[in-house]
Amino acid sequence: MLDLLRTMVINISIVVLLTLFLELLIPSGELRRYLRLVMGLLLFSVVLNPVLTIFNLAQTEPVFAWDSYEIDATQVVKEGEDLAQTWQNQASLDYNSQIETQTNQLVTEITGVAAVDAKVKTDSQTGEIQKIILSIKKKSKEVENTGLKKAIAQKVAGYYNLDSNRIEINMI
Amino acid sequence: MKKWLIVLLVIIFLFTPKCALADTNEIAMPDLSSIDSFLSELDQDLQTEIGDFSFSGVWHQIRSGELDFDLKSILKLFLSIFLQELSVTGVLLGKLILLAIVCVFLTNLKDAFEKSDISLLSRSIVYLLLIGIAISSFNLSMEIAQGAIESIRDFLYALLPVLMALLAAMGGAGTAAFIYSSVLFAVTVMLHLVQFFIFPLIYFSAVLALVSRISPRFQIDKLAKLFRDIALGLLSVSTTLFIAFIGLVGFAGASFDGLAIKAAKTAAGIFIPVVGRSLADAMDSVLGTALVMKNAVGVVGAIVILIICALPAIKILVQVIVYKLAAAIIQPLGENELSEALGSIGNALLMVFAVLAICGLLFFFIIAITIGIANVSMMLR
Repeated sequence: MLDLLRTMVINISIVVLLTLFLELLIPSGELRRYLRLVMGLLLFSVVLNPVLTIFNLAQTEPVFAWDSYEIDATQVVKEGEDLAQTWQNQASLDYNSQIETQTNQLVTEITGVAAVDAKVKTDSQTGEIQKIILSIKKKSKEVENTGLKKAIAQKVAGYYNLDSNRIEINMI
Repeated sequence: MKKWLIVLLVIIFLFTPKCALADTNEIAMPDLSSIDSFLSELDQDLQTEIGDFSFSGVWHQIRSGELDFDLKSILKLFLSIFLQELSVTGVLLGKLILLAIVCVFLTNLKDAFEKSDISLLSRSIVYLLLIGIAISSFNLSMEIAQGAIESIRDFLYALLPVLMALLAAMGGAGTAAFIYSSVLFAVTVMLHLVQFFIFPLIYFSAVLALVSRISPRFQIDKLAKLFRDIALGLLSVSTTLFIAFIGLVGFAGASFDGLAIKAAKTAAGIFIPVVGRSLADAMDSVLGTALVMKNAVGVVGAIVILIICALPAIKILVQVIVYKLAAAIIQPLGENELSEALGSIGNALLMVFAVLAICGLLFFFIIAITIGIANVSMMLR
């Protein structure tokens, strides 16, 4: 369709330019009148030709189909989901370290405890605490292990509302 | 809706750079290398024109939250390009006027002597020469506009996957897929229309308008006007459809996405222990930073699109001014046809300018809407 118009524009330009030059070249008189007639007819056919072709276009022109269009969103979505997973892990790590810090402080307050190293395992989806592993350093050897373990387990379990078998305590 | 978008974008723009300071280096981001390489290529291509200004510089500044961006420097850049272009195109103006004066002189000679064929011939040659200059500079402007639209497209193709991956990561994977394909579909259709229909039609109309002035016997300016009207109609209809489509996609995406995120948050919040910071809160802060980062990417995108579009637009505008000025100066000399021909080239260039400006604006809307979708979703959260 557009090719048709392009051809028409080019042809019109050629006819007009040709007329201009021929008019300059041909001496004035009878011949010039004939030239105008011929060039006029030529222009007539150049303009009418595409108009007539358009009427026949319906049968000859192929249907405009979208062939160069192909978008694959799965790659983008996959990238996004991977990213979301990374964020989830980051948030989960952040969350774990918060709970670890809090547990450390909580346990340090108990008498007889010199230092604590808490490791927390949580469900990365729900945030539920699955296991708290505590490494405890006692203040002195005289402090009794069983009593201390019980006190720590009770405090931590009560604080986080956990089942006490989820708390593992190791003495160093 | 346009107003709403602009207000939203301004708000995002005002708050983004400062917020981006917080956690930029701490949270994971999608691969931004495609945007990086595109911007540094753009910097190299435009080095002579934009001088000290650097797209990669703005990009890195926004990412690190230290954006030292003032409107003054941008306006200065535009003004310097305008003046630079004006001085270059001034030569063209000089040529046009000089040729017109020669033309007028030859016309006077023709009137003075009885045997006027020779002077008529030389006048025609001068006229053709003038048309040749006009057509070649028009061609150049068309190429500039096409090139600008292509680089906006390339940039959008580099930017959209990043924005959509971030949107998908924030909870709306389905929505991101839907919006990504819809937006790309709309952009591709629009660009197809502009490149293969609107630009050629403008070109035909310009050529016919010029040819029509060559010989007073063959008047084809109505045909030229028809082509111009078709191009204008096509442009306005496609713009309206594009804005309506993108707007609908934006609204649909925003509400769907927000509900999905809300549901996810409720699910995550149920089992959290009472004391301490909940996982949902931790997730919220990560998402908040990601959102800010996404807005930063979007804002840079919007700025880059604006500048990519503005530079060639200024050049074309200068050409329009030169042609209109030449037409205005030549007319009193007595060369009405020539003045009309130059005026019609000016009009055609104005159309090219309009197409470029509209394309830039539409792509700007796309970015604004993608930024808006995530913000509305997070607001619902």
